[in-house]
Parts: sequence; C-alpha cells; structure tokens
Amino acid sequence: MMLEVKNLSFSYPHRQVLRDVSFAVPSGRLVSLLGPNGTGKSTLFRCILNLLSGFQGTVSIDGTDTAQIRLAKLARLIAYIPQVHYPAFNYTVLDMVLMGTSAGLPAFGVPGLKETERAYAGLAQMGIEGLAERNYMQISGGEQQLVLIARALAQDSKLLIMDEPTASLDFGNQVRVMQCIRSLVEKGYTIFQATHNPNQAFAYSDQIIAMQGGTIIANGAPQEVVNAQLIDELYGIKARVESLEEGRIRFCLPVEI
Amino acid sequence: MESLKNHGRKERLTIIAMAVALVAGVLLSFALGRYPISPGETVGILLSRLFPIQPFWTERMATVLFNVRLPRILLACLVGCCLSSAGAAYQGIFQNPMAAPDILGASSGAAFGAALAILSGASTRMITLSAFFFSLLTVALVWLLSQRARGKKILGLVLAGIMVSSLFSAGTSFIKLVADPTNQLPAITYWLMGSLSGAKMSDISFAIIPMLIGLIPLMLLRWRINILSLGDDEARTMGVNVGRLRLIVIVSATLVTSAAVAVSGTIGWVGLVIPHLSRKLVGSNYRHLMPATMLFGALFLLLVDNISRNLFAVEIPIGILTAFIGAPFFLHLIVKGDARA
Repeated sequence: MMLEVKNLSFSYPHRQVLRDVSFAVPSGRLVSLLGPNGTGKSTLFRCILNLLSGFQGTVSIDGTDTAQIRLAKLARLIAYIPQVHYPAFNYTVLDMVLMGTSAGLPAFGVPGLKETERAYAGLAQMGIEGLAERNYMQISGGEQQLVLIARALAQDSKLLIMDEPTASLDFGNQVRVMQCIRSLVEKGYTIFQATHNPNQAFAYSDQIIAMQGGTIIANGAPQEVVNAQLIDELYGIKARVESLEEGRIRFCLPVEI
Repeated sequence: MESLKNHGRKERLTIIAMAVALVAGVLLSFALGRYPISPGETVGILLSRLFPIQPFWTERMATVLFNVRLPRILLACLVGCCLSSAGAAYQGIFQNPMAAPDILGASSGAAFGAALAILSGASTRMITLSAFFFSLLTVALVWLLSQRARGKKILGLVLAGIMVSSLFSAGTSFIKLVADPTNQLPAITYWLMGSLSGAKMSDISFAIIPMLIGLIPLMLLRWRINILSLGDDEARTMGVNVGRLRLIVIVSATLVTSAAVAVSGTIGWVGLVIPHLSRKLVGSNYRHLMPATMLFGALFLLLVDNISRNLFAVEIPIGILTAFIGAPFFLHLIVKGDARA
C-alpha cells in the first residue's frame, strides 16, 4: 500500500500552511515526519485523510487519487490513529475496537461474530486481548494507545496514519508502543507517523521526512538525513548526534542546557 | 470461541428485564386510580377485546379503562420513551452527557407555539399542532443558523440552540404579559408545567406518527451514534458520513421531542436523567443503551405519572414531579454512584 503526495498546497484564509509538498511513503515501511509545532504536520495529515478539502495537488494510494474514493472505501485503505484522548463516554475496550469495523457494515448494521473476531485479532496483535472487557477510561495511557492501534487493525486497512502515537506516554510505554508499531511494519503494514522525538526516528523508522514552514526540507534514510544541522534548522537548538554499540544505536541529544 | 458470543449477554438480559418490568408496570397502572378496578378485572377487560369473555366487570369499568386510563398510560410510556431516547441521541452526537432533548430549542419553540395558540383562543387540537409546528421550526432555524456559523460545527449548533431558545422564551414571556390573566395566563402556565392529564386517544393518534418516524431511525442507527461520539474527524476516518448521519439523528430526535412536548408540555429531567441511569445499567454502548433508555424512560414516566395522579387529592403536574424526583436522585448518584458511567 503506497501513499503518494504530489504538489500539495493548502491555505487557510490569510495564511498558507502547506507549500508544494511532495513525497512518497513506500509500501511496508515506517516513515516518520519530523517538524516543529505549528509547521503544518496536522494539516498535512488532515489532507491525506481527506478531512480537509480545498487543497491543491493530489494524494493517491497505489496510484488512485483519494478524492475519487468513497468515504467508506477510503476507510478500508487508510486508518487514522489519533493521540490518546478521552471519549465523552466510557466504552469497553472491545466496543472501542469494534467501532473500527463500521466501514464494512451496512448502514443499519451492528457488528456480529465476524467483526468481533476481527476486533479480537487486532487486540491479540497488540498483545492486549486480556483488556477486552475492561473500560477504556480505566486502563493506562500506553494501553489506550494500543487499543486505538488495535481499532485501526480491525478497520482492515494496511496503511496507518499516526499522529504522535507516543506523545503523552511515559518512557517505558513509549518504547513498548513503538515496538508494537515496528512489529506491524514487519507484518506488511505501511505506517506514516508524526513524531517529536528524533531518537524514535533513528530507532524505528525506515525513512525520515522533515518539514519546516510548510515545506519539506529533508527526506531520506535516518542516518543520512538527521544530523546536528537538521535539528538546528527544525527546532533552533544545538544538538549532537552520536552512536552507541558500534553504531547500532544512534541518538541525538541537545547540548544547550 | 464461546466468549465472543457471550459478549453483551448481561446487557441483553437487563434489557429483557426492563421490558418485563414495563409490561408489569402498565398492567399495574391500569388498576391504579380514583375509580378502583382490580388487576384481574383489568386483564379481563383487555382480553375481552380479543377473546369472547363473559363480563365479570361493569360497563363503566371498561369505559374508564379504555377512554381514560389506556390513553394516559400509553401517552406516559410514549413521552417517556421519546424524551429519553432523544436525550441519549443528543448526548451522543454532541459528545456531552449533559445534553438534553431541548438542547436545540425544541421545548422553547413548542412553548411559544402553545402560548401563541392559547392567546389566539385556539382549540386544544390547534394548541398541540401549533406547539409541534413551532418546535420543528425552532430546531430548523437553529440548524440553518449553525450551518452559516464559522468554526466547529457542534459548538455552532449548541450556541445557536441557546440563542434561538432564549429568543423564543422571550416571546413566550411577552405572550404571558399580554395574555388575559383570568383564563389565558393560567392555561399557558399550566401547559408550561407539563402534564399528561386529560390525555385522549386522539393525542396519541396525532403524536404516534412523528414519534415512530423518529424512533425507528434512532433504533436502527444506534450503534453508529457511538462512532459520532468520538468526534467528527475520527468518525470520518472510520468511513462514517458524519454530516449526513448527524442530520438524520437530529431530525429523528427533534421529531420525537417535538411530538412529545406538543402533547405533554415541557417535562424536564427525563431526557437527562434516564440515559444517565441507563448507562449505569447497560454501559455506554448505544447498541444496548438506546433500547434500554427507551424502555427505562417509558417505565419511569409511567411510574411518575401514577404518583402524579394518585398520591394527592389534587393532581400535581408531572413536570414538577419529574424535577422533584429526578434532581435528588441524580444528585444521589453523582455522590454515591460507581464509576461505570
């Protein structure tokens, strides 16, 4: 499942957000989008997910323009995984995951045995079947994020768009969630995620896209693209990029304290 | 996998128990009243319409049962069912457990319509029609205004609802000011309190059509309301046509609210309290919540109406009682309740 964005530009009244953005997310890869707050990452995601209209350029999946794809069909191609949030009502984990199966159901349909099996399969892939009957509000933030990923898996789409999936998680949960995400890539899923953590880009991504001021300023393999100069350009801070374990682990650390 | 099939079993059993309680409540309510009719006689009279049974009751009993109690019981159940399910539906689409059936101005529109009709000396039938018409008009106005509002759709709807509601409330106040204080003003005040007294079969035959037109889609689309409650963006990425689904739910909930308010006046609290209580019993999933709320709402209003017509020598308008019973009960749950809902 390949995602291709071509010459994408988007303006709100009186303010241009995206300027001629073009890139591709190859099938079966994890691509991370780096960029400072307010640079248009969320707007880019909203364009890709067809939540915003009125943009110039095209977003296509395996060569088909998403503007030509019906909403329910699109949902079976791309799934969106939001940041952990609190819904207005306290659904059980299984109910939450079952909502991902709606695209394949008729308008008046309710999920049946087949959908329930799919929901359990999604939970099992994330290793959290045991939480099925628990209440979504009463599990940890890391578990909630895994539930939202399981819901996307139940949606049956192979391209997953994630908006900072580890944003509000503790140190351990960040690693656990990223390991789960990486395992999905190994199973053939294509993932495009936004992240604020350059180290995640090193550890788990196949490709980095760096965005600043609504345009792409770098695009390539993590070890080639992410360096002190890029960090400075993106975030305006001095940082050093170092290696550990004979170059197997690379990391980036700010040197201004 | 046996456990997959068992999912939701407890909730389904609760719903069945509620249905049984409602049937029992209806039969019991027939027997309650100034004019005593025993449960045995009640069942006999009801069955005699279907089977040839030798009457062991008086003709008067049958008349009271069919012309006075039956319409009132039916109306109490229907109004309770409608207000509660509309409340639950609005709470889902506005992602807010505090939303009530009149959030889009259905009640204040109906009140204005009724007051206007009473002022112009219209018949009871015309008062009901005018209330229904103005109720729908108000919500339509709110919807149209919100479509022109910039920014978040849901916030625009709620704000437009508040504004248009207060506009119509001001209109109602003005009508009360100019109404004849000897007969029109008390009639308006009494209507605003909400009451099921004097319910007739003609009220039901008028209200049942819009009620069914609204209740059926709410029931059919109930599971999708879950997805709307997660917010527009998430729902859309799951393949839900948010704008269309929300419009259908709003139209349905408005139809049932307007029909209920038109025949019963403004009965508060039911649409807020009952969905909340139902969540405690069957959880938040609308698949079970919607039918549970419908049954529970019908049962609740039926019981409160029984109190309203039997407890005191003078009948207390049901709208006052629902607040007297609803508010403390609600407070008790907030203070003592468990964390499920």
